[in-house]
Amino acid sequence: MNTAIKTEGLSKTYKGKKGKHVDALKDLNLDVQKGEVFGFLGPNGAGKTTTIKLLMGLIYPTSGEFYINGIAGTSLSYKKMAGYLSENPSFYDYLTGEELLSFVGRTFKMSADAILEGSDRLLKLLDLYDARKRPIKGYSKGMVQRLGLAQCLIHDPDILILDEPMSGLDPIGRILVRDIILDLKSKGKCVFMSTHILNDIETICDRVGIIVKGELRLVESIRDIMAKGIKGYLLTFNTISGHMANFFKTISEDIELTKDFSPDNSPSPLLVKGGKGGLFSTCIIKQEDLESVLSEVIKDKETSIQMIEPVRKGLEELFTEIANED
Amino acid sequence: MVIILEIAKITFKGGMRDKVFITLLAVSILCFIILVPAISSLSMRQPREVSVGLSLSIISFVSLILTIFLGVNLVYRDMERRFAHPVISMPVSREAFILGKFLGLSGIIGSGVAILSAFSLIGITIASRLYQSSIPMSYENFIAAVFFEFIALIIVASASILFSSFSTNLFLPLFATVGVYIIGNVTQAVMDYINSPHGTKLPSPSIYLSKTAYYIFPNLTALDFKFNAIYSLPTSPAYMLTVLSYAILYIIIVLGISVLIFRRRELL
Repeated sequence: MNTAIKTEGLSKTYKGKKGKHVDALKDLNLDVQKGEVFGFLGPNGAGKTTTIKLLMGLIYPTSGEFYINGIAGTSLSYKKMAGYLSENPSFYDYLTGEELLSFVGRTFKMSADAILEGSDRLLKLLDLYDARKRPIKGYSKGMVQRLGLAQCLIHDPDILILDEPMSGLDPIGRILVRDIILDLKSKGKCVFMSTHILNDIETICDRVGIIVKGELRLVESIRDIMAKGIKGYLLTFNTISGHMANFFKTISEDIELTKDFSPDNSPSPLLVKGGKGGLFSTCIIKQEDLESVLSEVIKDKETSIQMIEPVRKGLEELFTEIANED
Repeated sequence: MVIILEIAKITFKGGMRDKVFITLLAVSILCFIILVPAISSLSMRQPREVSVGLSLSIISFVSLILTIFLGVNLVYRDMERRFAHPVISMPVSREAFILGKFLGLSGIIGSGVAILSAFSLIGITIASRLYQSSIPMSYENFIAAVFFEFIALIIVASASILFSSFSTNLFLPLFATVGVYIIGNVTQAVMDYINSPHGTKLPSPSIYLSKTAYYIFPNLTALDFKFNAIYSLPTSPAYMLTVLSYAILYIIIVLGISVLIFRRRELL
């Protein structure tokens, strides 16, 4: 069995003021596989944190059930296999970083040696080793976030449930956390993470789930999203002949030639040298024109292409479209 | 059990590092060494008795403040500042969390009472040397009085945990715990009055209400052995055992209710 996290009709309704009910999560059916990094994406109040809190037993579902590594969420034992990092982690601030990790390790019934080894390794990895004997109340937000990651990794769980793991981190911290997640993935761990940072999802995740107003609207692999989203190709030329420039003008509305290039006044080939100043001619062509364009370019000896890049509808555009659907 | 002890340990650590706890202990120690002998000497012929009474009252008062402050604050703060979230997300049951908190809190109260008692003996010794008392000092009674004070306080602590287990604000557990302490100290006197010839003249709803309060609230008067300690009066071991059993049963019931409530609580 390869399913790490499975939810079946998981729903949560909060009692609001004046007897009103708020459906924070509606009928969530999700399968997250072992060894997969799953990004959980949604606008504020979409139900991401509610889902994560349900999975961690902090709140109870109104209906539905979930399984972690095949163990029902009603049993406490599934938590032995999971590590959890909350959105704004908050720990007993009178403890030192080292004491916190030691407490977590003992709670997971790790041996003293394993706790010491794991604690030292993680504190060094997350750049907290020098602060290990200081009370947490003196830590910065980023340090608390990194300590949070250390406490959810110390018992080497199979499944990591991370709520906004990059929040409060500086760029270096973000790169560090991203590398840790990628390392976990390479070790076959399952990472379920919610984030607002789309770039993180694109670079880290295998699949993404987009949740809006408590409803899961899309679950798709990042690779498929990227492939489906290709709208055309951006060609960047080293040199382009007047003949080819005129040809591109007939097939593309989105052509940008260098300032001094005027094909009508230059019947002879004009060679445009690319350089640091960005003196390139570029042209966006449709996906279906790529083949014919390439054969034309091959025929024209005075035109050379430096780069062909896909122009795609990114995750951001997709997310905005789905979030605005109603 | 291991997890309960782990939670108790970090709760205890938190209490012992609390500035309020340390400050209160430091002020109390100064009171024991300076104030108790000074005030006791004013009584002329009974400085030892007065010093014992005064010391036990200070222990009682300071420990009560600590119990209410820490008891209410520990669980409430865990919810309010979300310290409980990472703990509950680990393989820690709600029962273990509540019991660990209670054990840790009991440890803090016990340590506080022990430290205060040790320093109070210095004050009592100084006061006793000022004037020879006709009644010898009974250290057994003093220890028994302090021990039962501790038991009374952990009953109050269990009540504070009960109120904190469902309250979403600080004031309810705070005032309710103070209320339990006050009512717990007067129910016996009220019951005695009801059972006296004057009490029979009271309207029946008042009698019914008083009797209900007597059975619901803890009888903290039964745990008060100060008088025996001050005048070195003999105490019956059987009575002490009965009172202790009552206290343990009361605590078990209160913690049981706390666990049932906390199991249903959502950590938002």
